[in-house]
Amino acid sequence: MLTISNLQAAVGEKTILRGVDLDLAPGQVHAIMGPNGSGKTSLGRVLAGHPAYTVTGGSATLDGKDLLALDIEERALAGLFVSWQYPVEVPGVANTEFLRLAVNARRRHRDEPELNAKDFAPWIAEVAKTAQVPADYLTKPLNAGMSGGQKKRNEILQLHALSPSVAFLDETDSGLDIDAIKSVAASINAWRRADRAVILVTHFQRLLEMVKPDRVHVLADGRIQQSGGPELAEQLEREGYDWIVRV
Amino acid sequence: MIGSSVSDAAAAAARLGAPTTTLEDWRYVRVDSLQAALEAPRRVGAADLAPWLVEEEPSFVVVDGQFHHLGRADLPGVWGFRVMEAADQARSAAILATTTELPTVWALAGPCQQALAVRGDAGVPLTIVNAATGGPSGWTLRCELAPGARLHLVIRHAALGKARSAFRLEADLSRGAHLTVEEIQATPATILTSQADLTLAQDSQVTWTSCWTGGDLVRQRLDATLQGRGASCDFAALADTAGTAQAHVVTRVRHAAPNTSSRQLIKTVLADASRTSLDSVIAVDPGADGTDADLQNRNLILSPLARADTRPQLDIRADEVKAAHGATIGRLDADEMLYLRMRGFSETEATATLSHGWRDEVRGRLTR
Repeated sequence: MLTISNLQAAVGEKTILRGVDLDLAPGQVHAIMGPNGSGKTSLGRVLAGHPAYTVTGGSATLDGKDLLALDIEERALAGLFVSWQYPVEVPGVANTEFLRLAVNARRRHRDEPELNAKDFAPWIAEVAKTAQVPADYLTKPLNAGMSGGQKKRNEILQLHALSPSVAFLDETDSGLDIDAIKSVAASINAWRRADRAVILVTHFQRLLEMVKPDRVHVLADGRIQQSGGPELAEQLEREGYDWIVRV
Repeated sequence: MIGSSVSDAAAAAARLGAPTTTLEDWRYVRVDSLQAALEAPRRVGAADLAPWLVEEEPSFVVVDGQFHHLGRADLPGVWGFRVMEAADQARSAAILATTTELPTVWALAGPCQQALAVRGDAGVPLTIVNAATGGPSGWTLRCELAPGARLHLVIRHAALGKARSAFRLEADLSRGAHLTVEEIQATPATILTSQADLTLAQDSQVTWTSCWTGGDLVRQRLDATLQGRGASCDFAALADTAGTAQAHVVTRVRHAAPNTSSRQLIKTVLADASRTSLDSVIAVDPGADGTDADLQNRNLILSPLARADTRPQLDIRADEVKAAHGATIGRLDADEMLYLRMRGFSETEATATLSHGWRDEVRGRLTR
């Protein structure tokens, strides 16, 4: 589904990714953990096409398509959803209208008829229920005036509305209280399907107890240094990253 | 009562005259060449005006400085119109006034051969269409608000040809009165000037919102004098220009009494090679302590050829004053653009969505 081979990237002269390999199959959840500054967020940004990054080597394909050859929006329309660790506030744009336009961009891409505001309102209200996001999020401006946790949940609402095939969720659990983490985890699980896959970037095993990963990777110094099953996350929780980074 | 209003209005018109392009130096435009390109005025029919009129609402239309169309008199809110003989043949003044049972008196004066009286519920908005088909024309709307009176005007500027149109509104607000004005330029104009002279007594309020699309030369000037303690002025304008259109906003807000407040928000969105400017002065007189004034000018440039000039100024001669001003000129936020594109918006769609949101802070104040 998503195949990343020897992916290398830099910001200016500074190398950030030094050769990342990852193979994500449909239905799977892969967790990426690692110390701060190891390149986890950068990996998502490079996949999304962030203009600050230059790909200096390797490849990334999504359902056989060369992801790196696509424009930013084409990657999104091809089925890639990359959440933001700190979602940007857009005070002048209503959340519902933003979602409607984004959903319609996808519908156009799939040659499906667009939804007008009247038809969209009940549809997105149902989506919000499924995503376990309070209905009043829909009446707010996009991310504006929301707490950090509310912004993360708003991104999960987008995930449900936009129906991508691969979700790269960057520390979606940070800034959330315990109840909110449970709610977000349930929402991620509700979104999962046999033809969808998730990359979960997290520092904490708590989320992985609720969204069970098939594989756990440790990214450090721009490379995947260690991969394993869910037990690797438990070991990291106990022992930290030192033993891997030293290797 | 109406008779005295007629003569008062005629005197005001004689004193004020119509706005002219000589009020200030035009920085970017050769007015002479524009004036030479003006078309001859033409007759217009109901179909020409249909886009600007809502039949169910009280309204009247001025075309090239002449009364053209009077709205229905049988509407809820008891608006009524009566055409009168001009009181001042020398100036061909036209008069608009309400009756005494309502606390509002208005007068309209300009180079018309008629006078117009209006009475009605001051709580119901009155739509005024200022249409121009060609040639130079101008007229003045005079509003006198009695103590506690409320008045809501919706002014639509419609360019139906290459014309030079000058509109002036003069308003005197008595104690506790509230004037709300929504001013909308629907189509790009050749030359359009709009000037407001507002005098505010104690505890009176003005809430004014203007939306401009610009033109060869579009200029708004707002002069507000806060003469009474506790008076307040809330002004917001949006200039949304494209092509080679220009829009210029000039404001002069004078705090002449203690505990007065003013808020000004002037936003622009500039595409292509369009240009805007803001020239604004907040003046605080000696003794006007407790003044609270704020002026914000935010300019959004969508094209490397567009240009926005801003000149916010403070002239403070009192000690206990809170006065702030700020101006920004910039492009769309790169992170906001990226966020939308990562959700599938094309660059064009993201630009349109974000600039629409930028406009809404001002446009959202409109009720019509």
